Amino acid sequence: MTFDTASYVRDLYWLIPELWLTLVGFALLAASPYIRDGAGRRIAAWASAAGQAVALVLLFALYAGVSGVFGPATPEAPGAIYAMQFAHGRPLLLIDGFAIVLKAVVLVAGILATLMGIRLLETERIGRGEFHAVLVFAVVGAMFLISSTDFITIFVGLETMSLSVYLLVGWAKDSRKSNEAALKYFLLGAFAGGLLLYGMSLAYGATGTTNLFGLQQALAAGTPESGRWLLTLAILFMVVGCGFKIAAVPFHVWTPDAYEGAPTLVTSFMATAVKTAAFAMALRIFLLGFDAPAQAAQWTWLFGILAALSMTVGNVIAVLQDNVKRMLAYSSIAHVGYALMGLVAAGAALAGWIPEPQRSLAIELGQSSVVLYMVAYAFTAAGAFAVVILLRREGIEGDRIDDFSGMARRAPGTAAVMLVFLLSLAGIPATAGFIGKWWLFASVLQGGGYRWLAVLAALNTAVSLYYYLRVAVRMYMEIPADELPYAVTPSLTAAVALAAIGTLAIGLWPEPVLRLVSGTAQLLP
Amino acid sequence: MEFVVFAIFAALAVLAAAGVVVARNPVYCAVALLVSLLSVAALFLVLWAEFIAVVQIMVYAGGVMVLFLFVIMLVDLEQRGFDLGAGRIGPRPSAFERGLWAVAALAFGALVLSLMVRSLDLPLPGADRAATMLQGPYAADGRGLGNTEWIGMLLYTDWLVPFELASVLLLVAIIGAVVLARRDQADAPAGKGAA
Repeated sequence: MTFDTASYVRDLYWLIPELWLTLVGFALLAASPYIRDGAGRRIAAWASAAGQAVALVLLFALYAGVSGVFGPATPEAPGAIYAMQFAHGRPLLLIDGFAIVLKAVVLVAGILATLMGIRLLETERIGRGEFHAVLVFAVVGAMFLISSTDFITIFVGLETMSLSVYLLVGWAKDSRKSNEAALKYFLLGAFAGGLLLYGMSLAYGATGTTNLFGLQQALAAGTPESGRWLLTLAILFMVVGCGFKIAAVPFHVWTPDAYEGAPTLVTSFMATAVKTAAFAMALRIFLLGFDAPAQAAQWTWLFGILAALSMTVGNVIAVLQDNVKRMLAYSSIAHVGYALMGLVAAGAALAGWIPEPQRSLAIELGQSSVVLYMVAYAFTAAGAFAVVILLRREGIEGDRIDDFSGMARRAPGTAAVMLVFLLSLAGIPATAGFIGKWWLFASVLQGGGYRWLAVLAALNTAVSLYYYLRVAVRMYMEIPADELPYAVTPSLTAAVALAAIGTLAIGLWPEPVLRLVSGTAQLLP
Repeated sequence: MEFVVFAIFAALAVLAAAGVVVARNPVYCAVALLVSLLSVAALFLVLWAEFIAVVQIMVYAGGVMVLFLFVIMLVDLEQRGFDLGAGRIGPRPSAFERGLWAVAALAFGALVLSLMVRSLDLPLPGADRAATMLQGPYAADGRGLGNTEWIGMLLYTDWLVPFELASVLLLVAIIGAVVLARRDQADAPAGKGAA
C-alpha cells in the first residue's frame, strides 16, 4: 500500500465542484453571525444560489473538457470518465455521465429551493444565516452520494445529506408541525440508515468487500450456498433501507407529515434533490453491486411490489387530501412508484428474464429512464412547490387546495404555469412528465414479466388526473378566496420561470436531454 | 473459544439493548446502554480490533455516557416524578394489535435467524481478510505496524475522502445542535421590509 500524492491531487481535480461548494458552505457559515437584517439575509441567499450555479458551471466544464479525451478509467469501470482510485485499487467514487447528470439535477434543485424560499424564510421568521450553509452542505452530501461506489462513501455521503435535511425540516423551531415533521423524519431516517448499514455489513460478511465493483466480482465468481442466504438477507435489508430513503410504500409513513411540516422550500428540496440522490444510491447498489442473475432475481420482485404499491397507494390517498403539500407528498410517493419501474425493468433483464435482443436494451433503458424521470420530476415538482410558496402570506398559511381558488383571475400567468406543472405531474404530452413516463413505460414493456406494471401505471395516471385537475378547476372556475396580494418576489418569479422553462423545454424539445441521459447508461457491463 | 466469547458478549449486548428500551427509569436505561456499549467493545476485541475497542470504551463509555448520566442526574427526574413509561401518546393499543405486532416481530426474527443459521458454515472471506490484515501484516509487512498505525494509515490514505467528508457531517451536527438548542431573540421581529 503506497500513497501517491500526485495521484491524490489529480483525483481531487475531479471533485472541484464539491470542493467549491464546501467552501461556499463554509463562507456562508462564517458570514452568518454578521448578518442581522433582512437585506443581509437576502444577499446571503442570493450568494448561496450563485455559489451553486458556479458549481453547476464547473461540473459541466469538467464534463465538456474530458468527454472523449479520457479513455476507460479502469478496466473495472469502463463507462466512467474518471474513477477515484483508493481502497485496494477499486474506485470509491465514480465520475461518470450518470453522476454528472444527477449531480446537475441536485444542484438545480438546490438553486430552485434557495431562490423560491427567500421571502418565505422571512415570513416564517426562520431566516437565520446558517440555513443556507446547511442547505449547501446537504447538496455536497448528495453529490458525494451520487458518485459513491463503495459502502463507506455511500454511507458517509448519505448521512451528510440526511443529517442536513433533518435539520432543515425542523428549522421552524416555533412551529409544532415542523417539530413533529423533523422528529418523525429523523427517527425513521436514522432507523432506515441502520437497516441499510446492517445490510451492508452482511454483504461484507458474505463477500469480504465493501466495494460495489468488488461485490460484483465476488458474485460473478460465485458464492457458496450458505453465502447466498446471507446475501439474501443483505438484499432484503438494503431494499427496505432504500425504500425508506426514496419513500416507497410501505415505508412511506413519514413522508406526508415531513413534507407538510417542513418549510415549503425544504419540502421542494426533499422531493427533488434528496429523492434523486437516494435513487442514485439505489441504482448504484443494485444495478452495479448486485447485478448477478441470482441476486437480481431477488431484488427485482421486491422492487416490483414496492413500485406497484407506491403508485397505487400514493395516488389513491392523494385524491383524499385537502392540503396541497400533503397532496404533493402523496403524489411524490406515486412518482417513486413510476420511477421504480425503470429499476425493475433493468433488474428483470439482469435476472435473465428478458431474452437477448431486448436484454441489453432493457438494462440501458431501465437505468436511463430513471435518470430522465429524475430530471423531469425535479423541474416539475420544484415549480409546483414554488407556486405553493407564492400563496404563503402574512397570516395565511396558503397550503390548502382552496387557496388556489380564482388564481386564474388574479394572476393569469402564474395560473397558466401551475397548470403546466400539474399536467407534467400527470404526464400529459408536451410536458417533461410525459417524456419521462414514456421512457419508463418503454423500459418495462421490454418484457420480463413486468408489463403489468405499465398497465397499473396507466390506470394510476388516470386516477392522478382527477386530483391534479381538481387544483386546476379551483384556479380557473372559482372566485378568489382572499384579497391579500400573492407573495411575488423577483427570486420566486425567477424560480418559477426556471422550473417552467425546464418542464416545457424537456417536453417540447427533448433531444438534448435524451442525448445527455442516454450517455448515462454506459456504467453497466 | 472465540465463538464462546462472541456468543456471551453478543447476547449481553442484545439483552442490554433491550433493557434500554424496556427500563422505565432513565438512569437504568443509561446504565443498560453502557453495558451494551462495553459488550460491543469486547466484540471488537474478538475481531482483533483492539484500537477500536479502546476507542469505543473511551468515547462512548467515558465521554458520551458520562454526559448522559450528568444530564439525567442534574435534571433530577425523580423529583419531578418522571417516568418514561408514562409519556404515552394516544390510546393504549388493544390486545389484538399487540398480538399482531408480536406475531410480526417473531416472524421477522425467525426469518432473519433462520437465514443466519443457514450461513453459519460459510467460510467468511471478510473474516479471512481481517485475520490476514490484523495478524499477518505485522509480521508479513515487515514494518511492524500495529493495529493503531494500520488504522491511521488506512484512514489518511485510502479512505481520506470519506474521512474529510465526515468532518462536514460533524460540522452539520454541531450547527444543528446549536441552532436547535439556542434561544432566539434576534429572530423574533420580521426582517425590515419585504423583498
